Amino acid sequence: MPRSYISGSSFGRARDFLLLTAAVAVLCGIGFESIFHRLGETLDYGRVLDLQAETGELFGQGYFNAELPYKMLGIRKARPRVLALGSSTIMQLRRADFPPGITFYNAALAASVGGDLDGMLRMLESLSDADKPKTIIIGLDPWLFNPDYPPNRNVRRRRSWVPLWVARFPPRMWWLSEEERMRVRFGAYETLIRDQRPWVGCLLSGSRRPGIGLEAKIKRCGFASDGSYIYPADPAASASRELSAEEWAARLAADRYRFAAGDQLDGLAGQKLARLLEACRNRGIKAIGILPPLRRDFLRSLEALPSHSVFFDRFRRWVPAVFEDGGGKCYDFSRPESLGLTGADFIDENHASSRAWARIVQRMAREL
Amino acid sequence: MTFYSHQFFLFAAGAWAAFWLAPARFRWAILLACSYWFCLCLGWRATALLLAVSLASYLLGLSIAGVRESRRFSVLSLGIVADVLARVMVKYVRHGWVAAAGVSFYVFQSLSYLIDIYLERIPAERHLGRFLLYLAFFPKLMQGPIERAEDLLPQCQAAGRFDRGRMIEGVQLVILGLFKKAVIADRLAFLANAVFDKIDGHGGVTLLIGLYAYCLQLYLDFSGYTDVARGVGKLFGIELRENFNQPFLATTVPDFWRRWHMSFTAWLRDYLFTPIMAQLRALGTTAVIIAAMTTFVVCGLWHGAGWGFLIFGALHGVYVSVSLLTLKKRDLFLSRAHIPEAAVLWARRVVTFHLVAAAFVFFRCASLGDAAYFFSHLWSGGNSSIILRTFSPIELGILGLSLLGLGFGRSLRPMLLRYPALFWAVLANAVIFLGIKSDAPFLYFRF
Repeated sequence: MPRSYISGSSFGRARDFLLLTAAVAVLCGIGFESIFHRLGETLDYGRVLDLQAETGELFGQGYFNAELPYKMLGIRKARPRVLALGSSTIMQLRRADFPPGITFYNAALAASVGGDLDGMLRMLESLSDADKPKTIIIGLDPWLFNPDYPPNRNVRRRRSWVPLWVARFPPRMWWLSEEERMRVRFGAYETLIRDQRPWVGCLLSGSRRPGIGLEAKIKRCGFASDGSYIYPADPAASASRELSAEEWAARLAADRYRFAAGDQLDGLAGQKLARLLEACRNRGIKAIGILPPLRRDFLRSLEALPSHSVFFDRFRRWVPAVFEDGGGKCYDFSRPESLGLTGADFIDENHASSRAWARIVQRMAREL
Repeated sequence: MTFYSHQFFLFAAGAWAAFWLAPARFRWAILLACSYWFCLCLGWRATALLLAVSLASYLLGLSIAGVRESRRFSVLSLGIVADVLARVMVKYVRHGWVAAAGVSFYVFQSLSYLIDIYLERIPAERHLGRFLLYLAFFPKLMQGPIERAEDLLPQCQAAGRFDRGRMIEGVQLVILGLFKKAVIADRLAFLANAVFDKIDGHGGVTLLIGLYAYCLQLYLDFSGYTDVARGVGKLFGIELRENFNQPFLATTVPDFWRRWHMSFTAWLRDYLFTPIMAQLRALGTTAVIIAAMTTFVVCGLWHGAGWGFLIFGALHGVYVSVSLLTLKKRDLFLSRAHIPEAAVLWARRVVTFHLVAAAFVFFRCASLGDAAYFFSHLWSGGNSSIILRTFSPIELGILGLSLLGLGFGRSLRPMLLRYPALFWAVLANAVIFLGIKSDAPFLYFRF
């Protein structure tokens, strides 16, 4: 637009509007960021880990999900001898369960963050020789090998039409990651406004209230300094209740996420597991695989339903075989009887409690 | 690509720069290319349908103007049948909702264009490109306003002169429209959806709160869209029609329709209601009833194929018929009763609003069963706790202030004139920081 089109007064009004819009935006941004900072949501992860080391406080974010950078930094700070990789099913594995002298860090990520076995491989590859552990314990969840698990589906879809050089093209990635970052940030602002949790109270009490991050402050849940996860003191009663076979049949029929029906194992996931084990061998890391325990009522349904039993049977036979072919040792703890677990040892159908994981550590003590 | 997406703003900014940098004689072509690109983003089927309807209307328009007097009506009939067929095919024989994007709106424009040529109100447009632009102009493509050829075609022909004041108005309208949509309407949607998406179990007060929320949501969503469309139009030097004029302050149902979706109502009045009245004048009051019922049943069915829309239209037909036939008697009664004018005015507003809201129940409910539940449980208690369960205290503050601000818009004008830049800067930031970011489509998009 040629400058001559704009009269002094109009230009002044437009300039005033733009300047004021920018000024108000900066003020709003500072306001939101201050709130997040005071709640401990956006503290530097190094600072979070230092605070946890000093005070033992939990780190539980309410508006962001920064597990990956937090755990990566945690590994580098802890330099553990034993490292746990996997999903939330293995997050109850704690440092206290290991014999004195064995340093441990739980780097498991929520399934929605860690995704699949490639995610574990990337974590391992990003560790320097100085930071690498001597032993890794890998939680091998059934869905990692289910071809209908969304990350497995997405890999196949992406491969079909996006050339690799496009995905790796730096300017495109920069643009997308910035866009994603902004989207997450503004999404968090919206969540804060819509939030009915008492965050204002946490804001006012500030550092007097224990915990880093809103979830830790309100529900007393989050990651401990060893990377393990502490659940709220009062978990949902509905999750811990055992269900009838009919109820499980209905739930599993509707599941399109982790326990989608099927009978074949994902071949691509098998290759990923082989790559992960090869990386361990090449770097001199001992790999221990664990098929995490499942609650009795849930396991019975998986084994009884025709839509799921073939897959689950193949999973329990094939995955340990592939693991041991790759030079690792694999334990099948999926049956709760193998550990003498009851329903009380589970948080929900596929999350065993810390008591159960303490028994698992005792069982594999020889390998450590 | 919705109006509330960064892709749209990148697209509009690029289109705006290309438009004003291009030589004046090619600006229509830039706008046409941008409009078809916008349509392509909605799907190739939507684009193909738009092009087919446009080409058919263009050729039929030339035919009506060119053929012998005795054949003009046949050609017009062919055009009407073709347009209605396109509309009905998309609406009632669905092949994916994207294909339907905007068809309800540009088919009505096409119909009015052909009828106006037949009635010799306007000449047929000979320039194909400008005619295509008349139907496809992207700000109004998806949800109107339904423009008349006599208003929009001359603007498509004019080169477009850069007007500073119009640009500023355009930006202000865009901000206001997005504020209505993202900050208020999409927020009220949480409350309306909480009630209507699972209506069973709610008591009367809760149902009523949900209905009020839905009425406000629908109004602010649609008028917000119109504001953005008009604002973007102004940025390209094109004036689009106003579509709303404080409809919930209407004192009668006919008055409501003069203030609600005005471009659509004016179309129905000029091309349906008035011609029927003219044909049936001899029948007296029966003519009013037939014209009103026909017009509003068509209005209901225009929104979709369903008993709910049909009842919505029929109910408004009854409202309008009764209102038109009893207005004089009611006025006489009220003047004799010596009731203060202000009380009468507000009583009429409240009654009109509730009549309209009752019809919107059929518009919003997923089934007639849900609508029946609504009316049968209206007196069954309930409470207002759903408001506190749905909104955080901050959101209640935002909604309260926003609705107060909109309600007292005229009172705020002196302050606006004193600090306009600050006012618009705050409103723009409210959209950015307080707007709901989820990709909620505009409600009228599906029509």
